[in-house]
Parts: sequence; C-alpha cells; structure tokens
Amino acid sequence: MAAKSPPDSTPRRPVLSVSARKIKDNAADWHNLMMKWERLNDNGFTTANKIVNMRISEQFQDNKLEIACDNSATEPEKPTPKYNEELDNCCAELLETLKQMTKIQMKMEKLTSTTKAICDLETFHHGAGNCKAPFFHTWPTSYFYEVCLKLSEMYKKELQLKQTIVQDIAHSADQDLMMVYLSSWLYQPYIDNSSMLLLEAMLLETGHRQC
Amino acid sequence: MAAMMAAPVAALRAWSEAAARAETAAREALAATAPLLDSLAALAAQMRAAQRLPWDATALGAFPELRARLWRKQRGAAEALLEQLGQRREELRAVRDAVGAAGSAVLRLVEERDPAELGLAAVLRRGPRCPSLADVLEGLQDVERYYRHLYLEIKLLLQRLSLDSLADVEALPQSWERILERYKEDDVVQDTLLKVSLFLENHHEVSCSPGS
Repeated sequence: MAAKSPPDSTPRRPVLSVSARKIKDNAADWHNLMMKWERLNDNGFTTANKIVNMRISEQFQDNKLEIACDNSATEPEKPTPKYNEELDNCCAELLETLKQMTKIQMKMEKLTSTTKAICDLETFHHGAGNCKAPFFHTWPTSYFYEVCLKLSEMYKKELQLKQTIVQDIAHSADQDLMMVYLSSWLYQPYIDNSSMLLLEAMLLETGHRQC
Repeated sequence: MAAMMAAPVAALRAWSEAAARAETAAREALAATAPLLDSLAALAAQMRAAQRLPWDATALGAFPELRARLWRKQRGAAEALLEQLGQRREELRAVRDAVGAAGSAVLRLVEERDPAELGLAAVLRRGPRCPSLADVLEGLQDVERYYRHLYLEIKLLLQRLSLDSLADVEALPQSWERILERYKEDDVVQDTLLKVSLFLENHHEVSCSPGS
C-alpha cells in the first residue's frame, strides 16, 4: 500500500508517514461529514416542521368537522381521512434526509475503525506501552481513536433518535410530542457541545488548523 | 443676534447629526429584537411541551437521558438568545448615552452663556416658521427622555425574564409588541428633528442675510 501512495509533492512540509497521512485525511473527512450532517439536519428540520404544521392544521380541520357533525341532525358519519399528497411528499423528503444521514454515520464508523486499525498497526510494530514519538504534535495515536469513538457514538445515538422521530412524526396526534420531536431534531441532544471542540482539536493537532 | 446664537446653532447642528445616527441605530436594534423574542418564545413553547409530555408513554421513553439532554440543549439555546438580546439592550443603552451626551452639550452651552448676552427674550423669540430656542431645548430633553424610557423598558423586560417561568417567556412577543405600540405613537424624535432643522434653517438665513 505504501508503494502505491504518491510521493509527497510539497517539499516545504515534512513528509508524513502513511499512517500519519491517513489520520490527517481522516480528520478532514470528519470535518466534512460533520458539516454535511449539520446541513442535512437543517433541511430535515425544515421538512419536519412542515409535517408538524400540516398535521396540526389537519387536526384543526378534523375538530371543526366533528363539531359540524355533532350539530347536524343527520346521521353522524365519520369523515374518511383524505390522502394528503403534500404530507406524503414531505415524509418522503424526510426519509431521504434520514437515508443520507445514515450514510454519513456509516462513514463515520468506517473512519473510526480505520483509526482503530492504525492503532493496532502501531501496537504491532512497536508493542504495547511504547513511547513512540507522536505523529503530529502531542497526541498519541490512541487518542485519535478515542476521539473518533466518542464522536461516532454521539452520532450513532443521534441517528437512532432521528429514526424514531421519522417513524412517528407524521402519525402522532399529540401536539406536545410533535413539538418535542421537532425540538429534539433541531437541538440534537445526543451530540454534545464538546463535539465541535473535539473536531477542532483534531484539526489543530493534524495541522489543518493553524494556532 | 446671529453672533450670540452662533455657538448654540453649531451645537444644535452636532446634536441633529447625533440624533439622526441614534435614530437609525435604535431602529436597527428594535428591528433585531423582535425575531430574537419570537425565537425565545418558540423555544419556551418547546420547553413547556417537554415538561408536559409523559415521556415513558411515548416512543422516546426508550432513550436514556433524553429528557435531561434535551433540556440542557434547550437551556443553552435560550441562554444564547438571551445573550443576543442583551447585546440589543446595550445598543439601546449606547443610543441613550449618545443622545444624552449630545443634548447635555447643547444645554450646557446655553446655560454657560452670559444672561446679558442671551437674554430671556431671545431664548423665547419665536417666528411663524421658526421655533424658539426654548422650544428646541425642550424637544431635546423630550428626545433624551424618550430614549431613556425605551432603554428602561427593554432593560426591565429582560430583567424580569426567567427561564423558570416559561409561560411568561412564551408571552414575550406580545409584551414587546405592546411596548412598541406605545412608542410608535410617540413622534417626539421626528418632531424635534424637524423643530431643530427649522431653527437651524432660520438662523442660517438670518446669519446669511445682508443686514445680520
């Protein structure tokens, strides 16, 4: 694999080892994936908001119909729920957003397993408990894996929450629940505020960000 | 007459410029406040919904710590909004201070004049298209009071805000709208700017006229 890698063509920078290069690329990938996730989250929120608004106005219409039926002297006939094409489109849109988020989360897991593999390779070469110099500034290789794992776990739990929201948001009749779904989608409770700090620290360590 | 009015006229010109700048800044700060209050009210509605929800009876019951985590995130977002509102409050404070300082400069200048030089008759002299200096000075004080009260309104509104009483936070846009309605009816800033500009125009004409 090392033989296939193109030689580093930027003479000003120190030549990184294959493992270091891989970790540096991983850090950039983490950044891109997290930014993409945020964009999808914003789009998903807009769609989920539309769904909730449609559901609430549907409920409002249904209540009005019920009152009208109660008041009429004729045989009360339960109105058949009509097909709402716009709601259906929004649900499809939200499902598509979730699909893309699932793909991102899978890529994040792959980045984590790659980092784990680099750690294992390091251990294989130098043995456990070695004092090998860090690839970049101060971080031992295992710390990259710890950070990747932390981030990956956050996004995994968040994705599970989003899956539940997507499954139920268009079927719930409870307005409080719909509002909590929306709020949970927007504020992403399982993604800690520290995630950005971890990412930035990783970018700084790998030289993507300058001090 | 023109000579004894020269210094107050120059100070009023400076006031006029400061007041126009302050009016723009105040308008911008007020325009930026409304959407922040709307967001805060929407967030309070979400927080209240989360408080009312029987979590364990819903699909979300299976998620550990979700309620506490969401609460923390919502509080964080609310605090960020409160911070932004605090910045708008500071902008209105700066407006109050700028208008106050410009007004005080004019009043000090007039007060420090020798009474013999700028007598009562001159101060009260009014023309068909020109307000008296006393009218203008009264307007300056009205404008200063207007911005002082406006600042106090937002200061008190934000001071009374507590994330522990979410129903009040949810009603914020209505409270703010009521405050603004009161101030919209008050044209004191525009009236005074007009008064000052008429005064300046008139004294410019007098000082430029051949016999002055």
